[in-house]
Amino acid sequence: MTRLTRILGILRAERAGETLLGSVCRAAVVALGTNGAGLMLLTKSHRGPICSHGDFATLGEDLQLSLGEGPSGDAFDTRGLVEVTDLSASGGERWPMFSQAMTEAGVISLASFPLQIGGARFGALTLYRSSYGELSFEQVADGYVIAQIASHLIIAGQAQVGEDSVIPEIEAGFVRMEPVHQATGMVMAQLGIGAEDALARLRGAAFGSDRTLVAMADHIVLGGVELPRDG
Amino acid sequence: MTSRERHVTGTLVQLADTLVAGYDVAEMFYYLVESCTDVLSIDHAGLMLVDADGILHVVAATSEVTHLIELLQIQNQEGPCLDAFRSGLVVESGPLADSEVRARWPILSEAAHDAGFGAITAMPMRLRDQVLGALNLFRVETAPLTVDDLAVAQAFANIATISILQARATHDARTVIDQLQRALDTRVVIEQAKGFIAQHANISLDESFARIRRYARNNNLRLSNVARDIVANVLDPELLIEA
Repeated sequence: MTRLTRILGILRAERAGETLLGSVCRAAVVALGTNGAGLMLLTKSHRGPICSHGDFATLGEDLQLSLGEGPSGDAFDTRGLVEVTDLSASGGERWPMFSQAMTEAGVISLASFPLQIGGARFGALTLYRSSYGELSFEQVADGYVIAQIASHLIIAGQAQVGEDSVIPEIEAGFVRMEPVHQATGMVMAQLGIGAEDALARLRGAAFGSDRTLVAMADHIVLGGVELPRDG
Repeated sequence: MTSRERHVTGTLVQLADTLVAGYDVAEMFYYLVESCTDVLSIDHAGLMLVDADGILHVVAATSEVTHLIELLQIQNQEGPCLDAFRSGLVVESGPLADSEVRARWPILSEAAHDAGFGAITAMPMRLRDQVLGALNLFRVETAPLTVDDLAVAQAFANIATISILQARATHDARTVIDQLQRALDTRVVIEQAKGFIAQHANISLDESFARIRRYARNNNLRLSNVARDIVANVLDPELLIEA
């Protein structure tokens, strides 16, 4: 049985009423035997969750989105596997805030595979583990295959919806991040700054008040809270 | 490793490298036909590929005369290359001066023979049931290609076929992702504009969105363009509030 056939089998078996794309994280946890897995969409203007499953994954994906740092972005940037075998020892330099929070939560090692087909790249699959060490050759190969399957599911699904639409799994992630874009606009108007700076201010405020980025955005959008002018 | 084996391996590696993103497919076509003449005991090579409408085109040839013979086959819809493309199988022409060959492809065999060729081998560019075209090997000699040469030519053709399919898939994926990016960009900017106007005018997000929509409708503008102008600070928000 080829690797692809085996993993497609797992994907089908693990599909619990969700879409195939929604089951990718569950299948990744089963196939690689990791604690958790998360799938994130990364584009220039928008980053959003696609699915997560198992321990640490929801927290890890939220933290990466909130802090704007972590292995997903690096896998996307480098177009290759990003692996950290001991987060407490070597993650700190790359992603200080993310590494600290994940280490406190019990994550020891992690790996991110880019979602890409040829030159088109659009996200990352991250695997979270509470054990030390590198992934085995088999695990790395499985990880690449799962990332590849996820990439093809996104492209195939997206090719079928209209030009102005997005597939349901991405739509759901966008809706979750909507308050962040709204709050970004509010901070832009309030402080007279651009979108990137406004998002950075939001991230800082979220980190400073121990909130996720979405919670901070909700606080501003729904609670009418304003950021301090001097930052 | 003999020097020939080294040459074959080097060519295979080079062709496989083109699977990696960011290469020029057209360049690979020329590399393929030139490698065939370097490595195999043949004199010239040509490559024809089918387009999305099912029409064959000559995409590379090692000489002008080979190019013309390829074109002749397409124009007259006859020849070993056409047969290899249609059948998905390797076609050995046999000696071009033979009467059997003359009867099978009258125009092609005469033209190729006049150009000094003795025989042609046509190799389909095929992956499973998908035939993309044919790789054509021209020889001055009339003897058929050796088994070894045939195997090497097949390996070259296979890798080149995968490269072409990969390039097409990449192109398709890029188009889809570009559309996804645009769809998301538009929605991001609309959400930002909603927040911007809500904050500026101290109104709810719903009310803000209603103002933006109304402004777009009254001025016959696209909602996304109005939103873009708002967040780019080139549209006075007061204009929306007054409206």
